[in-house]
Amino acid sequence: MPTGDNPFLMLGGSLSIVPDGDLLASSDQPPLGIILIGSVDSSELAALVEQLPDPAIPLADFGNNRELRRDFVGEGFDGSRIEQLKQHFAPIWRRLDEFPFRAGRDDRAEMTLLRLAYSRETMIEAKLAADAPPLVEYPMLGRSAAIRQRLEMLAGLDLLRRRHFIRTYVCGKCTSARLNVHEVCPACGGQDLADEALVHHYRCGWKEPESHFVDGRELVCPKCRRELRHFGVDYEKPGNVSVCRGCGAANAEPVVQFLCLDCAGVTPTVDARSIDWHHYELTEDGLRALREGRLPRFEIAPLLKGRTRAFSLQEFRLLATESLRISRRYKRPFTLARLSLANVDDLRGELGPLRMDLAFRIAVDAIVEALREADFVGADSATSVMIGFPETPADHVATNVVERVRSVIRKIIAVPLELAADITEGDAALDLLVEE
Amino acid sequence: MRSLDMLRSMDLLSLIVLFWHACFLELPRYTIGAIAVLLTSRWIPERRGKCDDLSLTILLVGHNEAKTLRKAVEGLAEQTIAQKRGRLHIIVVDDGSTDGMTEIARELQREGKVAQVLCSHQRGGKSAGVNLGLTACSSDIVFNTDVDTTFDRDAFEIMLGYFADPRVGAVAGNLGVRNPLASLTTRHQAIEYAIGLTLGRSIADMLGILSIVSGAFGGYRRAAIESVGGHDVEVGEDADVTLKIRRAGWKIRFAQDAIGLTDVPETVAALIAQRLRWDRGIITIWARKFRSVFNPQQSAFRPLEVWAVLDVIFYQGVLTLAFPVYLVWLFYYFGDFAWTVIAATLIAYFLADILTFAIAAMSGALARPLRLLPYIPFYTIMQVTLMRIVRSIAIIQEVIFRSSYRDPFVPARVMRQVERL
Repeated sequence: MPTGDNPFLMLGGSLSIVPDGDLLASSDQPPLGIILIGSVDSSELAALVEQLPDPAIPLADFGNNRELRRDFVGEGFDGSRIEQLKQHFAPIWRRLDEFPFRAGRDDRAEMTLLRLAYSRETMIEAKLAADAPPLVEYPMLGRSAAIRQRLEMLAGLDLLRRRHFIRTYVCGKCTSARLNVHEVCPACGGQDLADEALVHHYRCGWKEPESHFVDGRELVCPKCRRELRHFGVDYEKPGNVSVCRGCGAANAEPVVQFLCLDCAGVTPTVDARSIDWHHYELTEDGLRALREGRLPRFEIAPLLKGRTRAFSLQEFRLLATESLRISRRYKRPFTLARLSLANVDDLRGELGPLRMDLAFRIAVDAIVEALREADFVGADSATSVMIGFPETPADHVATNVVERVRSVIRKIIAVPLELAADITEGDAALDLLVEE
Repeated sequence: MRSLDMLRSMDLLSLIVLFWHACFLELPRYTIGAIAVLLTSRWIPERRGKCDDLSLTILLVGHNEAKTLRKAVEGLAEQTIAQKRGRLHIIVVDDGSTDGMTEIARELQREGKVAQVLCSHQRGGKSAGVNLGLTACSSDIVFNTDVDTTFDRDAFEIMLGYFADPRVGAVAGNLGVRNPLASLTTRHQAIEYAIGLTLGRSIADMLGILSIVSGAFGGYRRAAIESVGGHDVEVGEDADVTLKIRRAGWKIRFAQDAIGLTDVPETVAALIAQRLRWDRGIITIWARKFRSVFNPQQSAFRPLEVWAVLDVIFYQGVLTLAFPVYLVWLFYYFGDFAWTVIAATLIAYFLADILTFAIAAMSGALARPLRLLPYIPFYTIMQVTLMRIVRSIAIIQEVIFRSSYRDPFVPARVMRQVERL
């Protein structure tokens, strides 16, 4: 809980408007809230929050900053509002105080979303925003192009639970969802269309739009010139056609297009990409991830980062090619193996993201620890690695290395994680490399 | 040959005596009437006027008409009056349907094609349904039509024109057969509708004795139908309400050019069942319920009303029952010569039918009449034999057993109460 009278950091205006100067957070203590007293640029706020130990601190807006996340919206800030803000933010502070914010650098943005969802004790709710090109915003999180992507990633990891809100269609040119639907004539592209009944004259079989039959107040068949007197006996109206007033063409259905209100681009409806927007709720796994301060990523590459003998795929290929060349020249053995964690997705559904994440990390550690000084490794997909084994025949790799890793996985994590191995030696390794 | 020679040798008076039934009862009615209509039609003043200020409602009352309701409403939208006024005010009354008619009606209401939907959860019969619909009407004119009747595009506009005369309380539309070529029976009925309905009602209209506005296609001035308390529960409720309106002093008109079409029974059995019902209703309405028109002590006594009721009783009842008497008389006095007389009578009827059919066809109300011409002999035989027998049975059933009070057209529970009261 904040103590003293100065828990807030103010942005977007002159301090002179605040009658009590000590309302500014003291420099040695991080602020517990932010007050926007004027217009603030979203990048400015993002840069500031990035420096704070807890990026989920509450934010009060008195500057009409619609694009930023806001916990309190007011007009005309003065010192007397501080007490009101403290009362308003008290429940948020209580939740934030339950455990500190922890996140790796790569996960900070996603963990911030989870922490906001937890500390505000409510669903991350989507709302229609007519003034925003995507047409949907998350007021709790502010407007940012990357937010939906992050939320979807977290939902994909089962840390957030989706609830469908709306499906929008986006412009093929600028991705704005602010579109106007219009119908156009397939023949001339004109928009001056009218719906007209199709008339079928039973007796002579003539079928045309009704306007072609109208003769004063009577209906007269344009083919046989007979009067159509009795609906159901002389004629029927089997449906409607769209008639273009511009070129006179009659079509069963006009072409439907989206006209973008932002860039004036035209996208045929059949080509328009749709986006499903959801509300999101924090799951138990999400809360656990938040407490532990890490996201289950199920990607080998980040886990190899910083390890000795781990390389990027490009570097790995160079090393492998060079090792092959040496093995050919000196007639020495060289083995190339691809090890894959085969059933990660299945087990994730079974065990939950966090338990599976732990198993995944242990499995990757076991693989890396099984390598010798001369071996080198590179991640070639999210769940598989390529390993080069200089001076090692394939059978040795199969029996010693792969089996050892499998045994470690079995012993330590007690999870039926399958390790698939594709092992090749000598020139055959080239095929594996080329295939890669 | 001897029989023909005998006929040839008879003088005019003897022939009239021999063919008394045809000469006095059968032939004068339509033959003379048809010729009169043909001759006088040019001199009859135009009875239609402009009625732009009269509002109208169409009542569609039905029981289990889910399949036909949409087509009926969409057909009404084709009316020239609908196009002139923008939209017709249609009220659908579901009389206790079990086939989802109300749902279809509500769907049409959501689409803006129907103004109001009323529904009674238990079937109460056509009369009750129309009366329920009348409570929702506020227009000057109310059209009452069957859901399965379809109309010429200008039918309602023509009908409305007759209400320009403020003395007109009801207008009967002209009904034709929609399925004339479906079977021999329907061909017979197509001719029958042309002669009996188009021509017959034209004659009655000319004489001012029209006494039925068909429930399948009729228009009523709301003030007129409300002044007589709407419909009573009857098998022939349309004839009943027409006579009530007549007795209240309103004029009844026949709109020959306003054409509605209806499907008629395709089999002889179905035709017999329909006619038994209709004919039983006629006895109840004209002979039983309105016999008071003959009482000169009544304040509403008028010779024209007497004539209107007499016309129906005489031609529907007396003439039918007189035919067997005539046959007995023929065979009693002339023996085998009676067959020659009957054959000659049939030929005379046939010729009269051709004449009346031609006059009916000249009105233009019948589409492609020539295709029905070959079937007139069949029509003549059917009318003299089957239709007359059916009518005789109906009269006997009604006079002795009051069968119309057990007709399923009106729910038994309703009819029981009516009879009790």
